[in-house]
Amino acid sequence: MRMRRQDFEAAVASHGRRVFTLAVYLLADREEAEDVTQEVLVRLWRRGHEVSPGKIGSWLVRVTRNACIDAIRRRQDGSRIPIDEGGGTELLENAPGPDALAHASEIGKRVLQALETLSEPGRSIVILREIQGLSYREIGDALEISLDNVRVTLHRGRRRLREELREVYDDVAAC
Amino acid sequence: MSRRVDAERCAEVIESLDALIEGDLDDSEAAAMTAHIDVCAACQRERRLAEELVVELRSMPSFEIPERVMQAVHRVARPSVMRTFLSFFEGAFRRPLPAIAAVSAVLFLVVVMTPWKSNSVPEYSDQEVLRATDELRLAFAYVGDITRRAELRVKERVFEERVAEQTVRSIKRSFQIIGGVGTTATGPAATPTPAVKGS
Repeated sequence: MRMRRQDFEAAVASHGRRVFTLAVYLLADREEAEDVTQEVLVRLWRRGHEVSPGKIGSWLVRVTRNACIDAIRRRQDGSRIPIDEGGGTELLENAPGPDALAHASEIGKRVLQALETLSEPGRSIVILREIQGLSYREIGDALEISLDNVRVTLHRGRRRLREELREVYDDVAAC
Repeated sequence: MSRRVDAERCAEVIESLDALIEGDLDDSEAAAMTAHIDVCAACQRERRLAEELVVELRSMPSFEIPERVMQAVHRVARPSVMRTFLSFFEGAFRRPLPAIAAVSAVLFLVVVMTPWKSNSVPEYSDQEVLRATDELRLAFAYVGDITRRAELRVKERVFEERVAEQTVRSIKRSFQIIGGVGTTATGPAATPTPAVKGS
């Protein structure tokens, strides 16, 4: 038993970009994100028929996040790739379109570095909310946590990012 | 005293900055916070930082799945010929006659169109194999279509013979019985008409 082909294609068209983007930001490594995305989509093909159509999006976010966490655990030293050594900078420079150039700025890199300092699930929640524009409810459904938990974790994440980036913004303001 | 009150107020404002930016506060709370921020340089800095951070995060790029990843996924995510084959035969058990006819037709076509060469072992390129696979898939789809149509015709005939004709016969018989009881005449024209009030 497999997912119907047209349902699979529709799910990929609707949510594929979100899956890959989440993997890119969680892993800060494009190649690893490609592997994870492939793994997630194959899993969607094999198991998607078990998920009700209205919940495919949140299921994909959950599976992607879990696959990213597994990928990070599988890394030899168990660490994340530091942004300064190619991860985030390369990831921004490789992004398609003029937006990517605008983001290859000092602040953009520092924001990515700051994201790296967040622990889970704060990091996923900030990415899903701020970069991917999901609602609190969508995030709660995807990560299987309450709305209050989403709100509180997001708030802590933003505060942490502000602390990390305070100097950068102060320098920019001083200029 | 005043400084301590201000510091407490600043802490409250900073704590609720996200809610203010998200628009989650009601009008009176938002107005009170804004009134404080307007006169507090530290809170103004904090709000600017919070807003700039949100703007920066929300303008981060999202990424399209690379073509090579989609190609790799599609290599796995395609209905196999075997599956199409099996699903056809699964249906064949439910409707054996049309299926036997369809399979016979396919076998006949295969036999007629196969070039019989005795001692040669053909070698096919990947492209030829892919093309053949696609053609086979198309053939199965065609056979499936024929089977479905045959099944519909059978259903129509069965319906006609077992339901429609019997119903018509039954109605006719009913009219005959009614006609026989009321008058000697038969058929719908002999059905007694109800008396009209006041006539």
